[in-house]
Amino acid sequence: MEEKSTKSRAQWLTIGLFLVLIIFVVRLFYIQVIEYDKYAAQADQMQISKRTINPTRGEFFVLDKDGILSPLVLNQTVYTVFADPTQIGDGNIEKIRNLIQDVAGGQAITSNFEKLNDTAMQYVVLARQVTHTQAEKIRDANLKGVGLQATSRRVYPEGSLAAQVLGFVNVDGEGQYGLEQFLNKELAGEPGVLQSVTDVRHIPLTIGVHDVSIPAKNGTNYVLSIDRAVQAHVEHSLADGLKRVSATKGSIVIMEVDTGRVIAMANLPSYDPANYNKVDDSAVFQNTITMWPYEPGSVIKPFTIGAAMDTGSIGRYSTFHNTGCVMVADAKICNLYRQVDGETIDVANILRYSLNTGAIWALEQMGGGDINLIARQRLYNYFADNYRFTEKTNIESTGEAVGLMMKPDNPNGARVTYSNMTFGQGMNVTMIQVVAAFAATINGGTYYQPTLILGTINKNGKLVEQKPKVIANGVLKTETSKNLKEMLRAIRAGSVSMSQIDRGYYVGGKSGTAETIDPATGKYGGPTIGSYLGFVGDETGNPKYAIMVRVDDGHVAAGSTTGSAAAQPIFDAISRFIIEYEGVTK
Amino acid sequence: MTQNRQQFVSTRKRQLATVSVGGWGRNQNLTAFTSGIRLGPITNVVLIVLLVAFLGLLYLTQLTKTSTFGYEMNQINIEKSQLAAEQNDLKLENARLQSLMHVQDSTVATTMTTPVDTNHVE
Repeated sequence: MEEKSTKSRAQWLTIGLFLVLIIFVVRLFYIQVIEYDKYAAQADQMQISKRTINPTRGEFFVLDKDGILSPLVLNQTVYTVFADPTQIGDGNIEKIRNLIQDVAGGQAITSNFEKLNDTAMQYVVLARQVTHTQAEKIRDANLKGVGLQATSRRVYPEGSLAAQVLGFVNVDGEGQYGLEQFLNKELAGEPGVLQSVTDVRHIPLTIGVHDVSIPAKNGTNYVLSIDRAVQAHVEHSLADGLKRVSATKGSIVIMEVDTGRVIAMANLPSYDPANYNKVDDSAVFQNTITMWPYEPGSVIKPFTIGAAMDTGSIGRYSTFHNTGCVMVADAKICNLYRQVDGETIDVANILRYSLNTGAIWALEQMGGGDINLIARQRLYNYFADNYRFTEKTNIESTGEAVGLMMKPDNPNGARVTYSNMTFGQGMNVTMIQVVAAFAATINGGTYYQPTLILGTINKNGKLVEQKPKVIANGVLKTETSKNLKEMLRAIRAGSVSMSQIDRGYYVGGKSGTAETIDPATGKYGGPTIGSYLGFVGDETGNPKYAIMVRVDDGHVAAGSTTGSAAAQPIFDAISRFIIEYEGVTK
Repeated sequence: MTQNRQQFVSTRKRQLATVSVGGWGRNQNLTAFTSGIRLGPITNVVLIVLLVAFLGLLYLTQLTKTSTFGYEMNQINIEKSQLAAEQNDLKLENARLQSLMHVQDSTVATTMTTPVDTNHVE
């Protein structure tokens, strides 16, 4: 019996162990086979680290006339120093305070130091925008609970130079205004991915079937058509010019007439893009040249004369009898310059004396002697189709505005409006529209795509130049273009003061003073806006640069106009500088 | 066991005989070498286990060696990043020193004077 009983216990034990073994096997089968995917996913989540590799944002460079590439916007890696109060330990707080104050200096956020004692917090920022060298010192101190977080910021070696052209990058890394916003996608690049099995310290191991390494695609580096020296001089000249007439707002744009490339674009008031968050009035972010249409005044007269000459309605030596004032419908339109009333005036002198009546006469000739629908339609065709005043230029600048122009068949005062349009009132255009069209009228009739970009930098660090793009040919006939620039030159050459400034160089231009609407009355009578539109060329008689100056709120002596007394002196200073800088010959 | 060996030898002889021609043939003078060492089943199992253990160890050694490359690569990447950051800092400093603002404010520029009278040669 005893033997039987012992054998039975052993058997039971065997059976029991066998059952336990079966349970283990079944359980292991369940975990390892049935629920394989679930646990494999959990394991991957713990072991596999996936990181986004941030691309480097594209930078901006400029090329000067000697072919030297200079940076305008660069990136800098900076660090945020933070602490986890739960990890610091009591004895280290004073040490951390002293180190951050010594190393970070002005970047230290001392008001947060008290929070180091608060163990309820796990993230206390101790300093921001710390440089690499400073970060290394903090890292070398090896303080427990203190960490560094790398971020990137834009650096502007030239300060506020061309601020509105560039725009800025906000805290989210998004480009705002100017080129930064317009080219945001190209500048941003594409992030890469680094996925690998890591150890407990999150250091990637080289083995693992899940390893993925897709490098980031950095943003495109651009070389702007802006000339650094010219841009700097233009900004100084504008500041001096505005100060001279107690003005606060003004703009200048300079364009190469045979390429459409903008070599200078300046607005005042301006701002420092590195400290864009300290700006009170966000209007300074806006590029007036591309975003603010205005009534440009008499700088439009060359366009009217060009259209009339191009249609064969008038010739270069055609004349008209200047009565000083004309009645159009029920509106009386007069000249500002009255010394030539009652005289017979040729086309060149219409521009020289800036005669509104002469511009209206040119419009009448386009309609066979009347401001009829034919005349208005012809002028509209030139303004809208040839000069492209109703279209965006598509220059690389965010928020470009478009001009406003009444249709020729509008029954409500089209005759008066079109009369006003001949001398730049009753229509809205941006400076970039005017200067691009002006370049076409004096270069023989080719409208080039206005651009701020000279090219991009390839992987080898070489400039890949962007070819000038022709938008339209035949804006004006070659002969008309030649006559127009000759007349514009004659205006300056005929003036003793201006010829002394130009010293025989090929310079031409036309001033304009536009009346603005007085908000109080809703009628013309507000402060005037002075403009000057001109060119600088060489001895071959080919204009090289088109220059436009605008002064918004200049104060000039009675009897003077802001066009000639505020804007023109700035043009003179710039044209003189360009002649010397470029080494233009007579 | 012995019987089996004899049978095996006997079989080979028969095979050799089949390829002989006229009483002579290839491999006629061959002698079979028989080792005196006998490996029992337990020894075989132990040897196999040892072999598997050795191969496992070899695999782990190689795996660890590969993993250490990960650490070395990580260290090199850190150094590379630091050098890139230093290079970038130098690039920024270079740009700052060559900027127009810096040049205009330099000692050379600030001590320049405007000529009182200039005569141009025509």
